[in-house]
Amino acid sequence: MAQPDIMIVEDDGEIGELLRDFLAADGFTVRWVRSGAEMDGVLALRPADLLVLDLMLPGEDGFSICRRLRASGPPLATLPILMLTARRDEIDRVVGLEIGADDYQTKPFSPRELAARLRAILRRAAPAAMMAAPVPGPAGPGDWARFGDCAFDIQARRLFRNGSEVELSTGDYDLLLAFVTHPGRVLSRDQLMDLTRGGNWEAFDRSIDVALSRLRRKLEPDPAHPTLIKTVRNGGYMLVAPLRRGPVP
Amino acid sequence: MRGLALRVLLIAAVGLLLLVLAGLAFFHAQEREQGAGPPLQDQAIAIARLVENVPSPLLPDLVAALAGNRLTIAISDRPVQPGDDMVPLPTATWLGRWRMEEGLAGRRIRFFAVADGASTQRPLAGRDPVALEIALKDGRYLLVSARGWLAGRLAALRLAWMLLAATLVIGIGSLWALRRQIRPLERLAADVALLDERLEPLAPPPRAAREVRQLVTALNAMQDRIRRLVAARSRMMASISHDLGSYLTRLRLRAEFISDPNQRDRAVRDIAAMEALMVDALALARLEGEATPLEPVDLASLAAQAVAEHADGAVSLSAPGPALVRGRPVALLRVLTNLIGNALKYGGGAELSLCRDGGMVELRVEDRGPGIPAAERELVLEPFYRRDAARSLDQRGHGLGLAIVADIIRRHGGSIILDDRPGGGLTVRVRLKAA
Repeated sequence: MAQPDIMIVEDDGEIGELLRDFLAADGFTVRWVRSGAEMDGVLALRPADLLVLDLMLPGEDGFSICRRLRASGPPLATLPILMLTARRDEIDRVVGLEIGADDYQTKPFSPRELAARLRAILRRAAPAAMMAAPVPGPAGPGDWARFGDCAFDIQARRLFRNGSEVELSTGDYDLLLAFVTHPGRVLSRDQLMDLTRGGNWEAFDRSIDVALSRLRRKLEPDPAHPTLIKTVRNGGYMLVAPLRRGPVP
Repeated sequence: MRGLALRVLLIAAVGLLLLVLAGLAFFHAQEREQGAGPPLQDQAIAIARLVENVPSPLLPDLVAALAGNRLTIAISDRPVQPGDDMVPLPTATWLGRWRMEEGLAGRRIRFFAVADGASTQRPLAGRDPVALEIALKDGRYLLVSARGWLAGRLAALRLAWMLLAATLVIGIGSLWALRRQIRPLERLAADVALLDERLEPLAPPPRAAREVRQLVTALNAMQDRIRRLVAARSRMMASISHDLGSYLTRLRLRAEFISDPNQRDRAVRDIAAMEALMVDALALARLEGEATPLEPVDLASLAAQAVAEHADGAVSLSAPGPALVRGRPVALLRVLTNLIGNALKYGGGAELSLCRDGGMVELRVEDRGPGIPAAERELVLEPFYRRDAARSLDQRGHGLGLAIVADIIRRHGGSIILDDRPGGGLTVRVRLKAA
């Protein structure tokens, strides 16, 4: 993609400036604001590809901003968010997960590590179809998986629901592929992490849950009561819907 | 004799005993005063012997001679029978037989109270006549009746019994009443023993005495002070750590702009070390507010997790099976990490073992390092106490690792003991309640 557009919300002037300068030098387009209110104004003019959100902000804090972004409609509801948090134990990670952050980074952090995480998040969010390998020669035998009211073109990386296309990000695609290739089996979070391109998930291991809830929103007739992909106790998931796989949709 | 109830009981018992003794002494003195002449028993025995040996024609004279205001004598061929207006006195009889045994020389006796129809039911008063029947050796019966001090003495006996009975009843009653008063205090002692870090206020036991209430109020005030002190200290540490975090974040970012790579790397290392210290200090401060509930945790699998992070084989674990304890998994993992870290740092390796011991699970972390001398084993668990102060800043610790471990274990209701390892090194024994 063209230079990714990063929005930083950080109230500490020194940190904001330093981060902006570092990321800009590293190949990102960076905009930096100091509060949620400023962010709203700037995003309205031009959307961003990723939001780096500090938790401790004056006025509206990071949690609240994240929550309200997720509650709003597209495109902000699907804007990838990385939270910057002061060192804490599990508590903040769990809360961050609950409100839908994609990843988090504790302060102080290595800016190179942050940049790597940003890239990983952007990769997962990129539309899957763009990464599809070109189909060789005349339309070769396809590879489709049907479940529920969905038809999944595995090679073209496209998903159709009741005939109309549903946009899939790379992250969505990887996750859906994992389920479709292991139908009727319980996959733990660890297994899902391994299956979906290994190392990209290290830091925020429960972002699998976030990715899954995104996927559910795209697939399930009622995301709050999933019937296609069920949660099994102790954090495993399983594709329970009957699956038909074949060369035609 | 430590219990309050027992002590009070003893005091009350001694008091009552003294009271009874005083009463008896009083009676004794009283009866001394009244008595004149030889005791009736001896007189009666003498009369019996006389009657046995005096020829019959002289008997009437004898009777006349001996009879007086206080004493009357009757000789008959038959013993006293029911219907004779005589009430048997079994206790006096028993006592009399015992005391007069020698003089009686085998003669049988019985004591009676002389009753006129109306007085049989009345308790024996000092004025009622008492009769002593002696079976004479020749088959006749001698009946000696006396008024006055003998009767008084028997009355005293009866009174003594009544006093004893009354003492017993009053004693038991008082004891029960005392026990009720002491119970709130016992309850309070038990409640205080259960106080823990949450420092919740105590409720005064219902119907407690004023002093007990005062005690409870004072205890609650003290807990409040402690709570505020702890909260203030936690706040202080948390805010210092937080602000430090901001400066460290800036420095870390700035370090990226240091052009000399060598300097840059060192700066990054120092910042990381500062951050580690800050994290530990913050962790310790935050433990004070920790109140997450305990849940069943498999210490064996947690230990396996901690050990797995050291793939080079320097750390080993021996656990016969699952070891369920009541605890907080994150905190316990920290305990394991810290102990393993210490063992590696000072001993080059760590050997963990788990075993079940009654209702407890014991975790042992052992190393072949220099160990810790007995005198320092308690100090070492205190925050910021450093044994290796002589080492340079980069090589020594900050003194928080064991303090955090000890704090976590304490909050779990467990115990931690440091000991010498046979053959050299340190053994750390952590005991936790099994789930």
